[in-house]
Amino acid sequence: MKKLLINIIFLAWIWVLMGLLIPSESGKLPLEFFLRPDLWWLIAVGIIIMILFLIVGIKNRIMSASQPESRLGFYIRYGILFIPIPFILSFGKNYYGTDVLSKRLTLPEKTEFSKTLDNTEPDMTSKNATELADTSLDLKMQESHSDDSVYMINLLTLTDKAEPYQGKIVNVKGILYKGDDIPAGYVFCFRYVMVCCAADARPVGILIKDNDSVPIENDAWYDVEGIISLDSMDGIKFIRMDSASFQITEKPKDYWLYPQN
Amino acid sequence: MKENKTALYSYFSIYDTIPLIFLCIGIFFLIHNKPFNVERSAFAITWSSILLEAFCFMAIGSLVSGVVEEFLPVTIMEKLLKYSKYAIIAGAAAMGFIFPVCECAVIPVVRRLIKKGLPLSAGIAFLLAGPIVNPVVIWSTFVAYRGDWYVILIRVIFGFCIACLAGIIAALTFKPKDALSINVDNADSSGNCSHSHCSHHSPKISLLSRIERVIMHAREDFLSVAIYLFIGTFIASFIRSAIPLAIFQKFTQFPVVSVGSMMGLAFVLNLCSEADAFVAASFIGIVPLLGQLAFMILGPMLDIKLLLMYKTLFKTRFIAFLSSLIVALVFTFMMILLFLTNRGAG
Repeated sequence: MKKLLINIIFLAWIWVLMGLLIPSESGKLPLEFFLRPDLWWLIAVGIIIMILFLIVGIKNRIMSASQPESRLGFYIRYGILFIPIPFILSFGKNYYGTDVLSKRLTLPEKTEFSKTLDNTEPDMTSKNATELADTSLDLKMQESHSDDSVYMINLLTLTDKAEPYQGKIVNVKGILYKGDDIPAGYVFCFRYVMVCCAADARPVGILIKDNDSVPIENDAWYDVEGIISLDSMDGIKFIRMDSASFQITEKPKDYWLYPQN
Repeated sequence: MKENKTALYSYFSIYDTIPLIFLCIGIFFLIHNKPFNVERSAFAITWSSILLEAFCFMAIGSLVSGVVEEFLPVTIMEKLLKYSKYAIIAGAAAMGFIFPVCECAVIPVVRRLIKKGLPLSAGIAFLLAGPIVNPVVIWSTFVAYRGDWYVILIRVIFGFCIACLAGIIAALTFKPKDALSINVDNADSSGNCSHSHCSHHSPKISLLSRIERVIMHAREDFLSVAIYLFIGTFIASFIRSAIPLAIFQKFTQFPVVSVGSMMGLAFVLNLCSEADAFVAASFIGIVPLLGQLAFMILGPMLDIKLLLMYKTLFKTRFIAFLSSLIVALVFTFMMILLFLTNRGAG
C-alpha cells in the first residue's frame, strides 16, 4: 500500500506536469500562467525524471529509505505532496489583480508623491487636451498635436523608456486601479512583469489623470489612450498620461509582460 | 500500559504533528476562499509557480546527487582530502562553475557529497556559494544590471568569501556528528551504501544497472527533500501574499537600515538565485545599492524554504547557528563595503 502511494504521487505529478505542456485552444501553454514560456524545457526535464522515478519504483518495488517511524506519519507526510495539485490545476481561474497590487507596489511615500504631482501641475484638472497644448511648458507636448499618430505600445516598453514618447499620443492596455494608495485624482494603469515565475512578478504602470467621465472598474482591462508626460521627485521619474480616454477591453492573450524580449 | 503506548506510537509519533498541521492548513486553503485574509487565487499562483520551478530544479539536483553516489569513487574524495583544508573549502565554494545549480538543486547534491566524505566545512561552502558563484547567476546579474561589473564582482566575491568563512567557522564550532542530521556512516570506507538495492563497485555490474541505481538514489533523495520543499514554499507563498513590499521599503532610505530590511525581504521572498537579480534591479533608485547587494547575496543562502530544506541535512541547533552566522557575515561584509567605498550608499 505504501509503495503504491509513492508511485501514485509520481504518476499524479507526471500528469500535472504534462498538462502544463499541452497547448490550450488559444495556443497558449498552461505553463504560462506560472512560468516564463521559454522554461518549458524545465518542466519537460521534470516529467522525464518523474517517469524514471516511477519506472524504477515499479520495477524494483523499493521504498524510500527515510520513512517516518509511524504508520500514520507515512500517509500524512506523503499526503502533503498531493496538496499543491488542485492549486496548480486551477490555472486559468486565478489571476493577479488589484488585490496583489497593494502587496507588490513599490512607490515613494504617498504624501510626497501627491505633493509633487500637485505642485508641478497645479491647474491641470481644469484644462482639456487642446488647452494643455497651448499652454504647455514642454515643447514636445506641442509637437504631439501636429503628429496624429498613436503609438500602440505595452506598459513595459513605456515605463522602461518613456522619453521618446513624451508628448506623444500613446495607447496602452492594462488593468485600472483606483484606490486609497493612489494619489487623489489619478488612476493607476498597470500590468504585471514576470522575470522567471509568477512569484517574482511586479506591477509596472503609469498614472492617469482621472477625468471622472468613465466609471472605472477595478480589475477590469482597459485600452487607454492619452498624452504622455514625465514628472519626477528626488530623481525618481514618474510617467503620467493626460487627457486619457478609456475603453473596456478583453484580457490580453499574453497576461504577463516579459523583460529582455 | 507501556505496550499500549508503543502501539500508539507505531501509528502516530510526535514528529508527525507538524506535517499533520500543514496537511490540515493545506486542506483549509483548498476549501476557503480567503484563508487568513489572503486571496486564495493570488496564493495559488504564487505557490504553484515557486513550487513548479523548485520541484523541477530539485529533481535535476537529485539526479546529479544520484550520479555522485554511483559514479564518484570514494578514492577521489580520499585524494581530495590530502589537500589543505582551506584549499578544499575554496575549491568547494567555486564548484558552482562546474555544477551550475540553484539553491534548491544544491541540497541533494551536498547531501550526497557529505555522505561520500566531503568535509562539513567544504559542504557548507558549496551549499552557500554554489547558487551564487555560477555562470548562470553571473549572466542573469549581468543582464539585470546592464553589464555593471561592479555589482557582479561584489556579488560573486562576497558570496564566495562569506560561504568559505561560514564553512570554516561552522566546522570549528560544531563537530560533524553534532551538525549533520544525515548518517555519514551510511557509506562505508569502500563507498558501499547500506541500501539493499546497492552493491557498488562490483566489476560485473553493467552500465544500465548502474544507471538504474543512479535513479534509485535520486528518487530517494527527492522524496526525502520534497516534503520540506513543499512546506517551505507553502509558508513562503503565504507570507509573499500577505505582507506588502512597502513595509520593507519604509526602512530602505538609509544604507545601513536598507541592508537589514533587504536581507529580511530576501528571506521572505524565496526567489530563485537565477532570477533574484532582476527583482533586485527593480529597486534601483528606490533602495541603495548596498541593500540590493545584501538582497542578492543573502537570498540564495537563506530563506524560508531553504530553512526547512536544511532540515534534511543539518540538526535544528546547527541550522539556527548557521542562519545567524550567514546573517551576521552578510551584514558585516556590507558594512565593510560601505566603509571602503561610498558607491553602495547611493
